[in-house]
Amino acid sequence: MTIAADRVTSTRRRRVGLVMTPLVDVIFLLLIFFMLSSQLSPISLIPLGGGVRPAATVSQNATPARIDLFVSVAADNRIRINGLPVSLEALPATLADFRRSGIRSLVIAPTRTASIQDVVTVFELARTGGFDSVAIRRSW
Amino acid sequence: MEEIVPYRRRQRIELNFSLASVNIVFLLLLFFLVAGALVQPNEAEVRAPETRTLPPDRLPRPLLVIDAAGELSLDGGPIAREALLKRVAGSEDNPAFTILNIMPDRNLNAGLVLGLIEEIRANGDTFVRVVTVKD
Repeated sequence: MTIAADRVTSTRRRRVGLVMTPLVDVIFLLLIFFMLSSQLSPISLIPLGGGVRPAATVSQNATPARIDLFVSVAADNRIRINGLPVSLEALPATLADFRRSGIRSLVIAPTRTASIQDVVTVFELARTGGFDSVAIRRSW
Repeated sequence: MEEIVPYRRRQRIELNFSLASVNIVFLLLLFFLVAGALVQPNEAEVRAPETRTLPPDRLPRPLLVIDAAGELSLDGGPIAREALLKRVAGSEDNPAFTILNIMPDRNLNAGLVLGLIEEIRANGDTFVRVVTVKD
């Protein structure tokens, strides 16, 4: 009985092979979807803190105990360190000099004209310059 | 003199590239799945600030986009400033954000962006990160 049944099914199934076309269609559609909807440009994140300290102590005028360097940033990369103008090209070397002399904290104060790109540029230089504490503070 | 090849031998040669091409397409699919991140249409339009040296990362969520006109949108949907601050503070239905990623247009006024960040921090215990594009 069982042998006969097996024979019947095997003869029926013999012609059904693996049909590839629908599978390829679906994969191609998925590929096109992900190619169009995904973004490949690399992203970098700048942590600005918060969340750790209670909200009440974080205010616009909250300053660290001691500010060593006060970097003000205006539009067109007009940068002043403790009041003295520094060009953007000279900024990494200047920051490295301050860092070598033992200064560890820095506050970036954008002026009214500064764009967020100006602030991010200076922040990145300060971060890579090895300062322990880099804060951003509105100066008005 | 041409060699006479038996008909049967010629007929056997049958090239089938379907499996190989499916493999390549599969590899491409895997690449885009791993390397890409899904973006909302308005997130692709904003030009985030550029950086050069920071470590690369993926496009994070939740993502607050501030476009060149100063309009806010959270994960692709427009949101008003007051609604955002309420959302940051959290409610029974929506727990507060622990992390909020902000992607401002690079030409926006710094004071405007920092002012918003200060308001967000005043409304909830949110860790704020600024999203930049690696040049």
